[in-house]
Amino acid sequence: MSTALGTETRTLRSLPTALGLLGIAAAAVGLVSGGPLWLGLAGVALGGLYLLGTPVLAVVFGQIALVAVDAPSLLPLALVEGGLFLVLLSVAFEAPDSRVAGSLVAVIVPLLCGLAWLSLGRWNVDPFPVGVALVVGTAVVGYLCHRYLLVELDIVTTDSDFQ
Amino acid sequence: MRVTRRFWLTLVAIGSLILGGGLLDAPLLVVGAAGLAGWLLAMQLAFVRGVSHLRDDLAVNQSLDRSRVRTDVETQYTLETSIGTDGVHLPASVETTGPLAARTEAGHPPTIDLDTSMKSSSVTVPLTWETVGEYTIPGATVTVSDGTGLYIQSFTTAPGPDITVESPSVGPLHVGQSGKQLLTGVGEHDARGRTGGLSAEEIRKYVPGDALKYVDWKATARLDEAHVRNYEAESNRSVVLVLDHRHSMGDGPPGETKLDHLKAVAAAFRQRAETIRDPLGYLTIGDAGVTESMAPVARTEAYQSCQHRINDLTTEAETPATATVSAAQSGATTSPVNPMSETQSPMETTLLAYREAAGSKRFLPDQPLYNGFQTASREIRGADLLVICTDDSNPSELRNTVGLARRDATEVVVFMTPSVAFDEDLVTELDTAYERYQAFDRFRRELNEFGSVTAYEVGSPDQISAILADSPANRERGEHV
Repeated sequence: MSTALGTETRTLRSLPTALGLLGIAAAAVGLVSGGPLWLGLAGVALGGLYLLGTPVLAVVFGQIALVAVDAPSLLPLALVEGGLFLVLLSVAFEAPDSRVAGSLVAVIVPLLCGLAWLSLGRWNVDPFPVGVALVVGTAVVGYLCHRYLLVELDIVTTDSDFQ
Repeated sequence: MRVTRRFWLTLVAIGSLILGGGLLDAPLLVVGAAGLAGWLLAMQLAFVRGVSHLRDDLAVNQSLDRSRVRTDVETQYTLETSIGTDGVHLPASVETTGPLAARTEAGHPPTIDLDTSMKSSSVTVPLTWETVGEYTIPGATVTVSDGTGLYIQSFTTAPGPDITVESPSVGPLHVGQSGKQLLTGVGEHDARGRTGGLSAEEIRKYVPGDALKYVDWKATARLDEAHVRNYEAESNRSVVLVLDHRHSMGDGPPGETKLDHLKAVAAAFRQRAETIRDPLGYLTIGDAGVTESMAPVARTEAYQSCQHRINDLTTEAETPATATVSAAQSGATTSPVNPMSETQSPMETTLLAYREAAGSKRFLPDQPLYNGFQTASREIRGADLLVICTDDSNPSELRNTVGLARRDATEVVVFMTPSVAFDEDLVTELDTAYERYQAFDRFRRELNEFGSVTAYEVGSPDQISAILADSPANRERGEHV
């Protein structure tokens, strides 16, 4: 137990990488170019959050800052979203099995984002149901992965699951 | 799979983005939430794959430097891990929890932390075993975490080696008659009994202690040397160990007392009984009377219980299991105290009075072995083989006990420790030691002459040899030389 906690503490802060810094810079440029000048401060905050080792918070903050831009044009939008995607990708590349993790992130994140964008922009579904559907769908797949791992490790057997 | 606090924080962030997107009607927030949810899922899939591969590639080996050990003796326990794949892997920690019977010097179980690039590691720690028994080192617990600190998974490897922990024993043991070592193994007994048949097994040379009735006269005449025919029991026969652990049994140096020697003999009988599944029981006698008893049964728990009782026996005073009125105090023939006497019905009182008047049980003063045996259950007294382990400090009591025992038991074997062999001033009083040993041997032979009774001496071979070396025959031989 103590070892597990130690590992958790050790990996709580993600180290900045070149790819992540590039993503943050792109997002900051996108924010400044697409919106008012004060969004430059948001770009600085974005960089600060990333350098502090909390890339997930940086992504959330970047997404919120993007909402502040009134009807962003395609270039700033692509810069911000692309930059934040690179930040998430950089975290995946820090993982031990970086190629697999990076590939999965590179496939799944755009897939889900595209699906959400289509639902909201093209099919005009309300944001809340789309978000709930996304979370529920992801949770179901995640739970199935969890059960698969338990069976794979012989912690539970396939028969006992349904008893 | 367990998730960490970081995972929950990310999930809260996703929930906040969805909630914000719904309330502010901002689709971009929901898109961001979708991206983060996808990222969590991708990391989980990568972790599942990594753990699955690590489990296939990870080899955990646990070993002990020996498979049989005595209590309070150190063994070296080694935990080795190796990963048979190139490249990096998920960080893992391998932890083992030894059996409760073992303790480590450090106080915490050995652990190996495998970083992402480490291929192998090992750790060796001393384990001290405290409790007798058979143990298996439990499988090691491998805890794997992903590099981003979102997920943790633990799994257990195959169990480690087995180890048998035995009670500490005395050194070489002398079991014999008149100073001659008994050649047959202690605990082996012949097949006389009331039930079951016998089958001839083999003919072997006569050794002191063999009953004359088993001498094969034809083989003896043919081979010109005494031979006996061994028989093998075709049915189980009950064995009861009567163990005396009174104060006098504590004579001798620490770890080699009379009781320690007799415990080794009793343990041999227990082991033999378990091997051939003979029903086994015991009766332990302390200074105050019977301290514990168990009727003979052929169950694994009974053998273990008997072994634990043998191990735990000390010469310190124990609370008697059945309170008997001390004959020494009353100075007269008495009967066991009935704890229910205050609640007896008139009918019971009348019947008990008749029983006592008939003299069904007669207690003798200062003879707890005799009195205790008398109060034992019929299953104990009527065993096919009754093994009495005691010393020669009270010959008349032992004589009475053996006389009582042979009434019900089919065969009685007495193991006696000669007090002279456990005297601390044996060297200074070597002149009188041989005479005392002779008195002991006369008493042993007297018991041996009882029908269906065999008596043996038990002691340290060195002490017995030292006493016998001072015999007149040896002294004369020394003078001639």
